[in-house]
Amino acid sequence: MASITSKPVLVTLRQLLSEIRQQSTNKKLSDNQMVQYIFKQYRKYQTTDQQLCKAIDEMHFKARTYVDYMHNAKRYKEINAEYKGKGERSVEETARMVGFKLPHDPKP
Amino acid sequence: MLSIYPTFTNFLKAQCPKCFRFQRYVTRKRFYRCTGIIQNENKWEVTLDQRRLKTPNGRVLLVNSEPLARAIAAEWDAQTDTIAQPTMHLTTLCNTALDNPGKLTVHDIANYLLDYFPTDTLLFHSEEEELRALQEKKWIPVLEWFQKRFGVKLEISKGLEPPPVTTETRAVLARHFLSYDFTALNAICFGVEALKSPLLMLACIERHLEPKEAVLLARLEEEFQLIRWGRVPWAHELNQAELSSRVAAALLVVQCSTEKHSTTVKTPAREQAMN
Repeated sequence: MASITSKPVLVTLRQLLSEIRQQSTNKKLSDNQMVQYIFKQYRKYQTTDQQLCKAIDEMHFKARTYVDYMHNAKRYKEINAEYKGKGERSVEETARMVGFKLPHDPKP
Repeated sequence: MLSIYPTFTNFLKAQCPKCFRFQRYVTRKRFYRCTGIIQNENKWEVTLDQRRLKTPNGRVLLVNSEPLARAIAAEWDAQTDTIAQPTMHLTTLCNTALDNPGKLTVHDIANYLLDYFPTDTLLFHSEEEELRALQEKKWIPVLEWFQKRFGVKLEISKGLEPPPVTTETRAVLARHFLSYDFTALNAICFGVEALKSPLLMLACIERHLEPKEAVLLARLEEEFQLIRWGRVPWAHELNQAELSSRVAAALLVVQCSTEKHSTTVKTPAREQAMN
């Protein structure tokens, strides 16, 4: 966080909050411990993140890594849920797929 | 009947524990409402409601850094009705570091990574003209950065033979790997296995590349083929999302376990002069 007013830093903060809002299960964002912590850190390093003998951009890089992690873990779950196999199709379903119907009372 | 039922099952469980051991073994329902963290001396624990989170071996999950503990708590909070443990990489990495199921030491992992190094993805360039041009455009800058950063000389292979790696390079890398503690090294190993490239993982740790970019470079050939053959979401995108999340998780653990906070009171210049 070179400085909190710079554009990329604020974009990252917004992404973080949006990911947490989508994933967290409690409704109120301000009650979330992670959000409180993130805001605390952002305020602490408001002017510069070089207070504690850190490299330039170290905190920002960490925040971006966390955004990446949350976003991709969510994406993986979404794709998995969308394309997950349901098992085998029934005879009836297969017949309908190719435009056939099963006879109502098939003769033995 | 209803009141007898629980006592009856409890009795059964006590009599034949084996019958109930494998129940619901694939997925577990979410059994807690909120997650939090608590401080334990200078380490951090994660709590689910009032219970402490434990590793599969039954030890309490202790984490060295506050942000990592908070991220793990957030990860458990993100589970909806079932707990999808295979996607919770941060928890898994911390569990592995604490339990150490392979009984590995720091030297074992460093050795493994050193043996991995000659088969790094970035050291193998294709024989096909078009792909090679792309690889040279994307990979050479990273290779040049790496050689400058670690002061080593790397050779590139054009066939199937792994390129020779000098003993000096090995020594430099060994020293670098051994400067990390076990938790970090375990995470590095996890990231390397996702990327198939120690070089890219080191570039991520040194903040030269972001996890997203590193995954793109590691999947360069796949991306190249996708231009021609088309993209399938349930194969390629799934793979990309998984690799990115793995690398990002490994990177977070490394970042959190390498940073240490300590505050000392500075002695004013006047007192120093008196001493």
